[in-house]
Order: sequence, then structure tokens, then C-alpha cells
Amino acid sequence: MNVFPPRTSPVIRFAAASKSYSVGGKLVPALHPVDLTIEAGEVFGIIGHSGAGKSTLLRLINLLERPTAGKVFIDGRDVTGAQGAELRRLRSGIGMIFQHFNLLASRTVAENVAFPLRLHAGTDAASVTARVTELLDLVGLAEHAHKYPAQLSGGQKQRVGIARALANRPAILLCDEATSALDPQTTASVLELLADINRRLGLTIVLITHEMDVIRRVCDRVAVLDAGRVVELGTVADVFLHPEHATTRRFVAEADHREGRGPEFPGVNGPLYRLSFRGDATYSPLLSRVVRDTGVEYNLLSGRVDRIKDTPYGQLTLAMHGERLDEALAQIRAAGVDIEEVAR
Amino acid sequence: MNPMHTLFPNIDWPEIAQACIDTLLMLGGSLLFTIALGLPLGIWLFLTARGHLHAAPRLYAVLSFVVNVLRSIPFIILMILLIPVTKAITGVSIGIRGAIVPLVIGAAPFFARLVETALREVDRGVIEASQAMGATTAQIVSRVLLPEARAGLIAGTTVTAVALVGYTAMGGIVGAGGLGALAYQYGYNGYKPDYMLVTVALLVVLVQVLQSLGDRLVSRYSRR
Repeated sequence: MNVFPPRTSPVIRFAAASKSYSVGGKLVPALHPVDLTIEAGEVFGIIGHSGAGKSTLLRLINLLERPTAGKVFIDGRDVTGAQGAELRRLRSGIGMIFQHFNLLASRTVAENVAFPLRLHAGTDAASVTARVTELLDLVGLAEHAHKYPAQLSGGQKQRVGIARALANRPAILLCDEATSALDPQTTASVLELLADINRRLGLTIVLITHEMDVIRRVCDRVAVLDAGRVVELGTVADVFLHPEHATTRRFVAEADHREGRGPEFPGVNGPLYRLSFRGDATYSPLLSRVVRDTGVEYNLLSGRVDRIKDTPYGQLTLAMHGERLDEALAQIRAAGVDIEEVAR
Repeated sequence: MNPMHTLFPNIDWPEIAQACIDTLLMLGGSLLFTIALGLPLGIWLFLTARGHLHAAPRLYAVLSFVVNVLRSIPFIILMILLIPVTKAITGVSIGIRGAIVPLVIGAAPFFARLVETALREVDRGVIEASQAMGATTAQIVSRVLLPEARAGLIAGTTVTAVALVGYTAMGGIVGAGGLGALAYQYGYNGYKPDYMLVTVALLVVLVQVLQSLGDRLVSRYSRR
């Protein structure tokens, strides 16, 4: 069922966009000049610690924050200076959801979802009602239409937020720490809903988070923000499996629950290798075949097999030794598995 | 013999009834105009404050100063100071209609502050969300700020109404009429304690009614 005719998804482009705040008469940079392109229809994640500038970067897109310098393009159009009616039209084409949901406490679920529809003159009551029903069905809250936000759980509130954000058929959805106030199970179901919306409606999703796990589950690409700078950018698989920057490594380590533990394994002899499997290679009996062929021995020290969005991956840390070690490594590489030597 | 007459020998009940009507008229009239003036003023204060939707620090400073000055002047002095203004607006300087002008000038700045405070209680995130949806400032005020702050606004109206009851009684001293006038003329100046007792008791009842009505509305509109 496709209830939303897909619109052409725009590309968001930051051209040396920066933002400084004046604090006590001094200009303090929140965001150093950022050059970044977000592709049509992708789920783009921005990860960073609090104060890294991710919230500012997100708000440059719908101009809740104005860049101090540089430009913001949406669909090739420079929107940096948009004002008045033009600005409101731009914003109504960009949905936004928030960490604390930001629903109107004095209105019911249905009225909250209808709110953005009623902002524009000439929307008749019947079409508003029909649209609200459609949206509440989409987020699975049809039976809660006449409740007030205070009567809902956190996950339900965020679903109302999502329905409201989608009301005007936006081409872009901005998610401001949308799952940070939710428990892990609810987080999973909200992320599932976002991924589903992205697939079905083809809209571009930009989300900010401080949890690598959120990035891993739904994003296609990720930018790592540190102290107002983009320090790493790439596909989630690349960044997740081969983090370069120290901040990225910390985030990945957190997601692997090996925070604070280095790759050292005292008492283990021989060089250590980290093998990164991606896609189908993850489930093939590669290691046992290589071991049989070359006679090397290995010792599994740590590992994880999981999925990045829809792609399976595995990352294993092994100690390997044997006469034909080089040959074994070559065979593993030939199967499309990345090998990193992490210790000798 | 009429027991009411034994208990309250001096009281002219029709006069009390008339005074009640006068007090209610002054209260109703002044409350209406206080809201009509104070609500926009409070919204204006809220919008122009630093960091808010239409931040204009200098304008805010001026508005804030005027409000503070009007709130600092004791009401009884304000009434006397405003006699020329009252005359210009209503054609009379005293009486029910004449009292309404100083009552409104005295209460509107007070109410405006309460409005500003109530609006500040509205979650900033909700305002940001409405901006993100492309709402105009007028839409944010009428569809977000006022409904979300409804409970606080009703509480502020209640406090203002109660304050106005006090002001009308003060107005009575300088000839505005109503229950305050009776209390002062007969009860205080005329040494008739039964007058004092009855008028004060009626004022207490009026305040109680206003407060419990306000409280009931506040709890009805609280959705948190």
C-alpha cells in the first residue's frame, strides 16, 4: 500500500556552512565550515557527542538556525536567505521529529496530527480528517486518535510526532535524537518505522544521534561530528568496520560494548588480526576451509556477527600462527574479507 | 420582629443589594477591559523578550519599564492621578464608569506580567516544532501559545479578578460606589459595625467564589 505518492527527493547540500554564537560579546564557533551533500532518498546519520554541533547542523536544513557564513542548498536551490512565506513553504516541505516529541499537550492525538494540515489556508475539514486517519494507520495509532499525549507512552508519542511530521507529504524528514528518550525495545520499533517510511515513501531522512547503534540500524551513510567539524564521512559499513578518527573509534567501541578495552590480549602469542566480513561472505565457511588448506591455527579472541541496516557483517579478532600464514591471509583476502593487523 | 433587623439594626438591605450590583459591574467591566488590554500586552512582552520569537531587547526594556512603573504606583494614588484621563474617556471622574478606567490601568500591567509568565511556561520545543511546521507567528500565538498556556492564563485571570475586588473596594473610598464604599462610609466613618461585617463578608464570599471557579477551570484544562 503506497499511501503517499513519492515526490522527487531533494538533495541537501551544505557549502562551507558555518555557525557561530555570540557568548558574552565573543563569537564562539559551534560549527566550522561544513561541506556536505546528502543524497536523495538516503538515510543520513550525523553522530557526535553533545555540543559537537550536530543539532545546529540539522537545524540549518530547515533554517531554524541560520548559517553565520556559507550556504545551504535544497534541491539545488539556495535557501539560505529564505524569509516569510518562502521560508514557511520550505519548512512545510520538511518534516521534523524531536527527542522530547514536542506535541501539543492541550490537543488530542488526531488534533496534533491535523495541526500542520490546518496551518495552510484552504484545507477543507473532510480532507484533513481523511489524511489524519491515513497517517494514524501508518504509524499504528488509529485507536488512540482521541487520547491526549499525556495518556500515551514515549514510543506512542514519537509515533504521533512521526505522523505529524509526515502530514504535509514532506520530501525530507529531520530526526533530532528521536530515540534518545526511548527504551531499547521502543527505539528498535521506532527505527523500524523510520526505515519503513524511507523505503515506502522514498523520502530523505537526516537523523542526529549520539548512539552508533542507531546509525548501524537505519543509516546508509554517516558523518561523524567532533567539536564542530566533520571528521569522518562514508557509508555506514566503511565507517563502522574501519573507523579512522579517534572519536569514531570510540563510538564504534561503545556500540560493540567494548568501551575502554583495547585490542590487547595478554598471554596470547602471535600476531592479532581483525577480519571484517561483509554481505554473503559473513555466512560462508571461509575460515575452516583456509585452516584445512594451509594448516594454520587460529584462536578466536573476540567477535561479533550482526547486521548493518540490511547487510550482514562480522568482525572477528583472531590470533593466527603457522608456517603458511601469509598464504592463509591471502586466501582470506581473496574471498573479499578485509584484514587488519591489530597487534604483533 | 424581623430577626435580620435584630442582628443588623442599621442595615438598609436594598442599599446592600445595589452595592453588590455596583461592585459586580465594576469588577466585570474592569476585568473585561483588563484582559482586552493586558493579554496583548503580555503576548507582546513575551514575544519581544531576549531569545524569543521576535526578540527586540530595547522595545522589551521600554515595555517592561512602563509596566513596572504602573505596577509600582499605589492604586489609590493612581486613581487620583488618572482623574483627568478618566474624565476625558468617560466624561465622569467618579462612579462606576469612572472607576473602571483606573481599575484597568492599574490591573492590566499586572495581568500582562502574569500572561508573560504563563506563556513562558509553554515548552520551547513545542514552539520550535510549530516553527518547523511553517506556522506564522500569529498562528503560533493563537494555536500554540494561548491554548497550551490556557491553565496558566486562567489562573492569572483569577488572581487578577481577586486583586480587582480589592481595588474596587479601595475605589469606594474615593466615591466609586459598591461594597467598599459602604464599608468605609457606614462601617468605618459611621461606626456601624454591622455594615462593616456584612460588606466584608460579602467581599469574602465574592473572592471565594472567584477563586474556586478559577481553580476548577484550571484543573479542567490541565492536560499534563
